[in-house]
Amino acid sequence: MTSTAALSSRRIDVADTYDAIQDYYEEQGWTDGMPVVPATEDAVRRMLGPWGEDPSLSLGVAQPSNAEVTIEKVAVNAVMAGCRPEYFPVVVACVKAALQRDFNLAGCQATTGGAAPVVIVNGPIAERLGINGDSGAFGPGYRANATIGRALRLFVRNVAGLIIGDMDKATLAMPGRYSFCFAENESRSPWEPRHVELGYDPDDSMITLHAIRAFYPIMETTVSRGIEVLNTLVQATRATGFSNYYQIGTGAQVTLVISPEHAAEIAADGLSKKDVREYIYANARMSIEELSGLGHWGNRNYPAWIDDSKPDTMVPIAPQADDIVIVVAGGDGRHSAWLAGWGVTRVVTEKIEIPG
Amino acid sequence: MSVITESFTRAAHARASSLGMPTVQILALPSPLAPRSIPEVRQMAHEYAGQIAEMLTNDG
Repeated sequence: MTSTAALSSRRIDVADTYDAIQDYYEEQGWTDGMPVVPATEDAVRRMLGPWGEDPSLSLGVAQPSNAEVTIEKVAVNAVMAGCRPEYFPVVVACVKAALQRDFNLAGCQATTGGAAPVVIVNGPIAERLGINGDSGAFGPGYRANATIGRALRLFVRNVAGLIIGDMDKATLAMPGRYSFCFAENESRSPWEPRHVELGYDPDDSMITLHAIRAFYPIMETTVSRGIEVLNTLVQATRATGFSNYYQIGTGAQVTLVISPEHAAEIAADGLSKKDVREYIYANARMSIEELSGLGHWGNRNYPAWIDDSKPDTMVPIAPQADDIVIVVAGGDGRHSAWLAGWGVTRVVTEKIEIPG
Repeated sequence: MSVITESFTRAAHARASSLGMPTVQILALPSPLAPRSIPEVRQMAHEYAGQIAEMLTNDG
């Protein structure tokens, strides 16, 4: 049974036709360009579920709009995105994560770099809701993946106020901004899942949010030993377009999504997730000689321990090994991917809470 | 007051409004700034210093 507690959202009367409703949403600029699900009062109440007892519950203040984020506003955008009500706790966790100071929502969604927030789901909720982490994990085909990420994007536009051309100054942006949500493929990972690695109970569920500039798929179909696979993945990062190497002073992080086949081979070589992280930190490095005068060099930001006056100083891909996030996702095949972080954001996590 | 580059004029006004300061004075410099050399940026600083001081000290 849904609550009857008062909703504060403005009521709008629009002719009761599909075209009139969609045209109205589009004219207001409230969409991502695709049709949305009308946020009727009934639909918003169903989305809120137990949270409907207090729709004015505040999750914080969003920047750059400086707007208070009520659970009701989040529910309106989740309805518009096409979420089922059972997805809503995941959407709430995403919004809470985006509101964490370290995530720097206003920065990472206003930047000309056009960063996209990527949602990675861990724990039993992924299977329960059908959040795909297997074949085609980054692609279309699953309502949960498509609409949870989309709800976050609509929140960014409609509540945080990142309007394209005004506050959102992305030069190109990326398709991941429509929606980028996937689950870790825990059943095919040889290692502990990310939430357990961070100290959560295996029965807990959690999201990780990372604002990324780019997604680099790496194909390794030739070698068969794990350490060789890892070497290919590391060598693939060594390019001046990979801006992490210029931004470790502001905390640039990186996520490596390892396919199950690659992960199995790496684990068979006796490497744990921690070993993988340390290998990447030690080997994914570029010299000052390679980096200078190119790419983001003019606006580089290095910690004091990087001596950028010496050509042979080696710059790591992240400030420290723990700034490299490792997850296993995808189906069969020999394709892994780097998700390169935007320069002034941090990876954040949030436990998914299911209200009473 | 705030100093920006002209590409960010709409963003600056939107941010000023969201912070409850819709009339804050905004000085827009030519864009882009990033590829300019340090001497060029120093020259710009000298060029605009008077305007910035005026905006900081007037009541508008």
